Amino acid sequence: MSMISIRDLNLSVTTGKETSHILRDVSFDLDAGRITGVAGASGSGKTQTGLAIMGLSPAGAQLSGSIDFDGVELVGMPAKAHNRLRGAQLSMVFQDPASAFHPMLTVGDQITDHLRHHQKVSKKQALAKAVDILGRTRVPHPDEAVRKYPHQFSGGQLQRIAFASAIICDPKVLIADEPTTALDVTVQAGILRLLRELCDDLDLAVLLVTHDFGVLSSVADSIVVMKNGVVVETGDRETVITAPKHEYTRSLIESLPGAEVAS
Amino acid sequence: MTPDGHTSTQARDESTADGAPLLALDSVSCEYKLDGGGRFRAVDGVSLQLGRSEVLGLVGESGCGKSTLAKLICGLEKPAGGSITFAGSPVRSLGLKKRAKSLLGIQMVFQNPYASLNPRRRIRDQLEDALALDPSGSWSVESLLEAVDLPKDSAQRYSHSFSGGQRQRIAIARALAAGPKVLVGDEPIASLDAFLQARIARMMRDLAIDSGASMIFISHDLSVVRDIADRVAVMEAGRIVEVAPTAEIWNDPRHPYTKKLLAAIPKVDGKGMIPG
Repeated sequence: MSMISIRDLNLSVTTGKETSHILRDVSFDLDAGRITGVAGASGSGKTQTGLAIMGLSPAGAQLSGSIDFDGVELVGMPAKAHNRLRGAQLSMVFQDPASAFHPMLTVGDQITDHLRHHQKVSKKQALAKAVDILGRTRVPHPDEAVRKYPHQFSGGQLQRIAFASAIICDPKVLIADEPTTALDVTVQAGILRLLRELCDDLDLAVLLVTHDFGVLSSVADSIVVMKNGVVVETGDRETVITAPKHEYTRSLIESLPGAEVAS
Repeated sequence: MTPDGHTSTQARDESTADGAPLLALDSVSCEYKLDGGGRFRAVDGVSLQLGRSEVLGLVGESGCGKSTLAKLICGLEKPAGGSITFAGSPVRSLGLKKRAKSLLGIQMVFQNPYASLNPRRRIRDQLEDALALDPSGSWSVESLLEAVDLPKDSAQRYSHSFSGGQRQRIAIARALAAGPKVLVGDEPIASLDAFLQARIARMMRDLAIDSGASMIFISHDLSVVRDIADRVAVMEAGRIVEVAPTAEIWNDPRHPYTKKLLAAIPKVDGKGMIPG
């Protein structure tokens, strides 16, 4: 059974008299131990799908359909109940690691904040766990890193810290929204390898949102292609990339340098 | 970063095909003072040449000195050594005095359009400032806006009512208005979202070439540079390690660092291989 199964998800936002439909009848599954990649142009609704799972849809958004998380319905869930899941069982890594952290708090404080909130552990235990988790995401010298501030790290290291923060409460679902877009191409490979490892070792259901088919080709197990809030194609990695069925997928892949599409 | 022996691995650019180059950098260096003494050599003996109507791509990882090089070319940073010549006259660093007329031919498009436009002035006023620098030019506010694909009523608006991509197009229009001979783009597409990047980069190239200018396009995104550059210079730790025509860099990279950069780009083959 799937960890998350999204069925006929609709999201619309009303501003004034106009209603814009951001997602229309989106359906796909996330499985434990697998990376599901969502591709699409900006405004295609790929980020909003991730945010809907997290319960972070914009204010005034109307959500309908179903997001089933291991038997629990997330659509229409009261905010308080969602708060208990977010950060604990559902976690997220954002695009820009430099703005994902508070600049004036130490890394140790920031990545244990939600741990202490959700699991009621002592500060000392939390910090020990933080050192352990930072080691797992290969941040150099974890015992010193917890006392440092975000500006003392490079972008790639900060993204590793963001992953540590995301997995510290042993989540079941990890949503990574363009996690390598802000990084140099040489750093990107390391982060992708980390994502693959975490997914395999911790049996995470990963939703990887990206515009980059190169990234999807490297780590995704299956790919969902979205356009204007609609899912246009779903399939396993190799099929979608080498033999895309939908014209839009084909155009996205063909526009890339070095891509070969079977015609 | 060591000042000694900087001729060993440095690639020299010797493409003087058609007479004197438009812009020439000769062993240019730049140093920053570090906190607590010491110096950091951000640019270390760089020699580069830019021909007429040529697009030169400059690639490298963050922190390799790309932006410092752009600032040196525009005179925003003072070189510690070497010389920069633009159309026969040396580029002096920009002080409080009025800029020499001869150097107005170098114009820059900055990385962050949120910071490079004045939020309190209408777009028309900002474009007219630049137009005044080149009274003989053929551009008008309307034709500039049309060239960068923005609606006519944009001229009356303020920068906050535009999206990032639109703002960057305004910044490009403003740089073009001054009638540049060299357009320097310092990561002009980095703050834009992915599918816009290629479009804006191509727009910059077309506008620069059509108006008879050359362009230096700085980016860490190699695929976009491949798309628009005639030649590519690869920079590592303050030095240019390889300069070659774009196709040559892609198909036959010589320097190990260039090879490493290219190898790190994930292939779109659906095989599930993480590069490196």
